[in-house]
Amino acid sequence: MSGAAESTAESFVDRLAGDDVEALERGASLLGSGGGGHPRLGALWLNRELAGGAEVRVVGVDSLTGWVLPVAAAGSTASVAVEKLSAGDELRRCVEVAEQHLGIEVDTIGVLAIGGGNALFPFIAAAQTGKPVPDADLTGRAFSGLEQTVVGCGPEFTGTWVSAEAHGAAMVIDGAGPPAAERVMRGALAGLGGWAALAYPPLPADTFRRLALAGTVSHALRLGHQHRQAAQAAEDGATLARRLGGEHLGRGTVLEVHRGSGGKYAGGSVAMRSPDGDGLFRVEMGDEYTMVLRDGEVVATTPDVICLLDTHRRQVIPTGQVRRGHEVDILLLPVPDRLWHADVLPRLAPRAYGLDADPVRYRAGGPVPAPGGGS
Amino acid sequence: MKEPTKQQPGEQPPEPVTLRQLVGHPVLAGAEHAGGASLDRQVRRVSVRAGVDPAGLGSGDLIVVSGAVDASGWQVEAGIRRCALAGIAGLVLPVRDRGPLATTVLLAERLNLPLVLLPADASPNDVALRLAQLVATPEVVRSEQVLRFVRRIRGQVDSLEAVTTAVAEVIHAPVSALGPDGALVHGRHGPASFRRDLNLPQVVVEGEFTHVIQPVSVGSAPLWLVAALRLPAPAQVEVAQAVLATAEPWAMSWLATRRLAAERDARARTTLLADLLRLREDAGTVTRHRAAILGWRLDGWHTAAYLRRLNEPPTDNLTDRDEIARALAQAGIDGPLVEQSDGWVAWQTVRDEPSPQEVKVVLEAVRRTLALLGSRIELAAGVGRLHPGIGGLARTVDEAREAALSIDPTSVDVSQDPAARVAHIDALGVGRLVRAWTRSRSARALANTLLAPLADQETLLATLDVYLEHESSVVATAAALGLHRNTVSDRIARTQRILGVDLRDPDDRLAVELACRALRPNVRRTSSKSQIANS
Repeated sequence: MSGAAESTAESFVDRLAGDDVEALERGASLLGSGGGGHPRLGALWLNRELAGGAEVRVVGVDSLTGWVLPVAAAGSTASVAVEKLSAGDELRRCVEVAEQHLGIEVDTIGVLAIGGGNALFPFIAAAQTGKPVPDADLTGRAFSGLEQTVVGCGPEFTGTWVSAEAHGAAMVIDGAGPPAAERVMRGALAGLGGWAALAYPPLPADTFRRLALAGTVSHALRLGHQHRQAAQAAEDGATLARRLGGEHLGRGTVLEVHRGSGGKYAGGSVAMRSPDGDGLFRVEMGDEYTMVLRDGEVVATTPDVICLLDTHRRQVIPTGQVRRGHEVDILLLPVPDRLWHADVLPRLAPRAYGLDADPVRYRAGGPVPAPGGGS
Repeated sequence: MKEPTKQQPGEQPPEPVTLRQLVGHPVLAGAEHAGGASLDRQVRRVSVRAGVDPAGLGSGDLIVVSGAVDASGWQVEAGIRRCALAGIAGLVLPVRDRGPLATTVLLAERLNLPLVLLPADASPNDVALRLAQLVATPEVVRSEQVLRFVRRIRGQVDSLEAVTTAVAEVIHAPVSALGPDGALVHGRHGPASFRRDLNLPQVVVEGEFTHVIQPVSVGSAPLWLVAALRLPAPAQVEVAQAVLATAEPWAMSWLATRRLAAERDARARTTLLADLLRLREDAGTVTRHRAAILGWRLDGWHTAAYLRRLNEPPTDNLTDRDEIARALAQAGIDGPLVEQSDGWVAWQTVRDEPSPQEVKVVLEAVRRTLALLGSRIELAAGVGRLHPGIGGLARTVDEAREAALSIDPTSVDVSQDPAARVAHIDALGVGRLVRAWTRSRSARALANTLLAPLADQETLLATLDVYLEHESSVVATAAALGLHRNTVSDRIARTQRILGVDLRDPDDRLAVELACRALRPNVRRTSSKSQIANS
């Protein structure tokens, strides 16, 4: 399995329209690897913005100029945001406060993570501000911590962080890198109401172009469209995996779900047995699915994306919702090769999710340890 | 423990141990065997590992995981795969908060890797040490257990149970004691059958249980100590053998102490009864006091039964006493039982004069007793009449003895029918009384003295016997023996000369006839008509 579409070629779309939002939702959901928050809420929100006449342009990274402001949501969008609804203008205010505070004009709204709920928020911000979104992101999948991007704790992300919440308050964290910003955000989240819009320090267009994983927005849209077609055609897991350019690791019925308690990472395991009883699967999970064992052998780990799909409805099952009796297909979706490079890998390898294991990159016919793995 | 045990030259390597035998070890009590994998693999080495890590190990290796491993962790599952690929004999895994995930157990089953889950309170290092000793140095286990037993038993034992309990605690298996007849006298586990005729340590395997049997020899009938081990390793059997052998002297000392007390009691009973029979109403306060101590009631009405042994000596009346007492009690006679040289005297006492039916009741009870005892202890029994007081006791005992002596063990109906071995004094005619007398000791003494000169004159003795039988008729005797009457009169004349008697004298005649009667069984057994005729 080679890396996912990484190209600076023509974007899949240049403007979101019609069923693109649903495709983006599906694609982000698949790339969420079972975590990252469900993009459903963001998709509804974005649809409302588009229905109100707003538009979202998608531009290639080559054409970027000026400043790119990466936008995401901090906190639990998976659960809290559903109950504590947004005011609607958090993302716009977040961009505005950043512009005011830094005295710059943002040209493009950047996507931080194309997997999970965070994939949709930049597009809402773009719809509300009229600024375009580049066909790229900084993670290639979902992230669980602010430093889990290709930038990591690099100097590019030491600067001014802006957060805006529903009641109108905005918070500026100045001169902080991702770890400090994360620490402050975690402390502040309760006061901010559980979740809030978050803008990373803005990046100059050249820097963004150098760092970002190009083509991942198109990739997510393509995955989403393919997934919808597969669902409509009621394709089985293996066919669906081929269509998505991924691997079908197996199908099984969940025998047992074990969820660990305490610790920084909410760990857990899903035990599955194939319908014929021949295959035993075990999927380890933290905030996301992190590792797949087949008959006791580790066959895949992060940073590749591990999806558990409901065998009958073909929907993504998030880590928090997998339960005993589920019949699931285990799919492995490739990520950009860049994530397997030694400089990025440690931030996305199993140990970054609290799992004491070396990363293993899936190869049809047998897994191989990743080069530079185990660091 | 990771190094294989080095054998000294010439030393026998320990017998291979299977995983099943190790799983049956007490140190793994409470452990759960997960997965249906075969337990019959041989274990040659026990290794302690911090994790489920088979590196450097292979077939014949048992891994005991000692580290703080989360049994539900993926490392265990991955480790099981590696262990199975390495051909590991088995994996002992401690379970703390949570057991392994379903897939882990299923994988162990699929890959045929025996998985033993240790409960949280078990120490993996201790388990590993015990198992390793069992596998590699069984003799160390053996000596350790023997020492533990000796420390535990320390000092004198006051019951057989103290011995069996101490052994059971040391070898972690139930221990029972069996009587000479193989019946359980203490404990619950005994082999269905073993060689009771061999007074030797034995090992009997019956199904899942291996019985290790150690005889405790006192007198003719041994007591047996039996340990029941479930699926033991060979080393465990050896441990049980060693500990039981060590325990034998303790059991023996207890038995000997008890035997000594029993002998003393028996002597007290026997002499007291002898005194009562001799002194009758003249028995003084001391004698009466001794009777009171033994719980004998001297007033009231007594009915005695005399049980005479028919078995060939040597016999052990003391050892068999319990069995006799049990049978008597079961048949309804629960009075005193006193050892005699050739058997036992038992009697029943009631306060008020009972109905004459009481005798029949006792008679019936004695018949039942003989039937209950079966063929191991063969008896002839006599029952006396009802008599009151101390004198009455002596009378009924005498009558019972006479009745018992009246039974001829060689007669056909006695050997065929056990009921015929019981006689009541009233049922004896004059003839039987005489026969009873001829079986008495005084009759034997008379016969031996009077007929001593004929001891090596078998022909003369036999002719004399037939002559007296035929009313001193030479003609009838000659006809009976197929001899000429001159031969008969010649032999009779010689006999009279040798004995120094005159058979025409009534007194002499009676004495000689009674002596012949007393010896008659011997004469009849050893002679035949032709032998007498031809000599």
